[in-house]
Amino acid sequence: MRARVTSFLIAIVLWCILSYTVSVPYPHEVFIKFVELLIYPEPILGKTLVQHALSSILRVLVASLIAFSIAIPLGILCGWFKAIREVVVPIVEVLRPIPPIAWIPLAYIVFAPLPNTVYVSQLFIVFVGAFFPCFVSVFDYARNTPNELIEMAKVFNANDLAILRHIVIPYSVQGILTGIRIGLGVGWMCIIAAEMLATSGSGLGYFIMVMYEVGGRTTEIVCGIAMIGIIGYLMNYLLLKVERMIPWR
Amino acid sequence: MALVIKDLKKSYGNLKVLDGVSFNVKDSEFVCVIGRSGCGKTTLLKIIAGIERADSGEIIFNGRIGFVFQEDRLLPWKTALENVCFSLELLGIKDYERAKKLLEFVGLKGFENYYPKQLSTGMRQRVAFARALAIDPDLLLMDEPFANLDAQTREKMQEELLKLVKDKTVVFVTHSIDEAIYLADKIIVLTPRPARVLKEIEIELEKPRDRTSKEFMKLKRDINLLLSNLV
Repeated sequence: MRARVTSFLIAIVLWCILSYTVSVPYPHEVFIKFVELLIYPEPILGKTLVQHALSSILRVLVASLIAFSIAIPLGILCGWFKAIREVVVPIVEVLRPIPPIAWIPLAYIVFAPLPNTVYVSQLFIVFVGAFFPCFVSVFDYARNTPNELIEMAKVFNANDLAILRHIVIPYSVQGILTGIRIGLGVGWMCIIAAEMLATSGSGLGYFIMVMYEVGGRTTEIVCGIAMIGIIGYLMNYLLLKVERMIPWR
Repeated sequence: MALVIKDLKKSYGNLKVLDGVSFNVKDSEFVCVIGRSGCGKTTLLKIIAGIERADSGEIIFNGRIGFVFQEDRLLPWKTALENVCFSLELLGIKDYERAKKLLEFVGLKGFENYYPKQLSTGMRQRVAFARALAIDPDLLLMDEPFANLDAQTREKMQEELLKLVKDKTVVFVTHSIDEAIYLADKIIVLTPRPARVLKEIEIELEKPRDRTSKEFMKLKRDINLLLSNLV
């Protein structure tokens, strides 16, 4: 607890030094603005910080859910079936190092025929960001399922399906939860970046960008950044709690 | 004859592990296979269990096999009861009542809902026993199941094992001479790798055996001599 207080105080001092030297607002200014923005809509976009946060969160959740529902089963199948692994993993390894943001221009072109191009493109970027960490985590667990347990099941006449169901999948639960946590984290970074690049009407990234464009409103910008940080932290924290709830660990 | 093993040969690459192993196991007989560590005892059991293939030779056996490993190999995400039930489930029978009875049978009544990590090493090995016994096996294969236990628990478990498997056909692998003499109706002594059957010794002492009796000690000396004379 004492260490936490110390680290908090050091952060505040550093922040003040920063504010003194460059054009970053002081902590107390940001704090007051932050509380204000939580309650009253910011006049240019007509939305509170909470509303912006909610639209960003919603986008991340929708896109991540799609990403996870493909990454988890695929990761398990790749971990368990060599034939699938040998086809899928090389493709993944080539696509994985590409920063999700790099797909944005192409996404706009590809999704242009759709009525909600921007929205779909944003979802796509988050999908790309959330997919790979989740896939890698699940795959890694599934592939490293202890051979002793598989051998035990075989001794008792288990077929492949039973081994998958009783051993590989439960063993991978830890990897699934970690994958979801990291995937959401990356997805969260991606949505902010994606929102900054196009008119989306709402969202924390969009909010920050507009505050910049109307004339460098640094206090609002820092409020937006703080909100991004707080939500990212809370998501990670909550999912860590869920991971610790596994009763057999 | 419950189990006939004829001239089993097995190599891993250039490493010859089994070099013509043959022996028979009668119905309800408790056979201990002993030999130095790494002589191929485990490979032999795996071949009998059907999860490894011999290069040549023959195994004649008809029936259900239960297996107890050196490590408990329980599924960490299943409770004690679910672990026992696992072997039954694989046969398509989800009989929690039977699993419960077996846990009671191995002395773990009241621990049904414990996860393996909450149980001691000895208790976990009992769960593994119950899992093997749950399917009512015609042949029970045991691969040094007590090797990871402390000396006292080990002797106690040996005592209990004899009560639990009274009429079962058992092939029990160990490198402990003492354990083999205490448990076995017949001891198969293997040569160091590549393994061949060096000697079959029928133990006619009445069970439960007294480890301090003259006959017991004599057997122990003889077998020890036999094993230590091998190069």
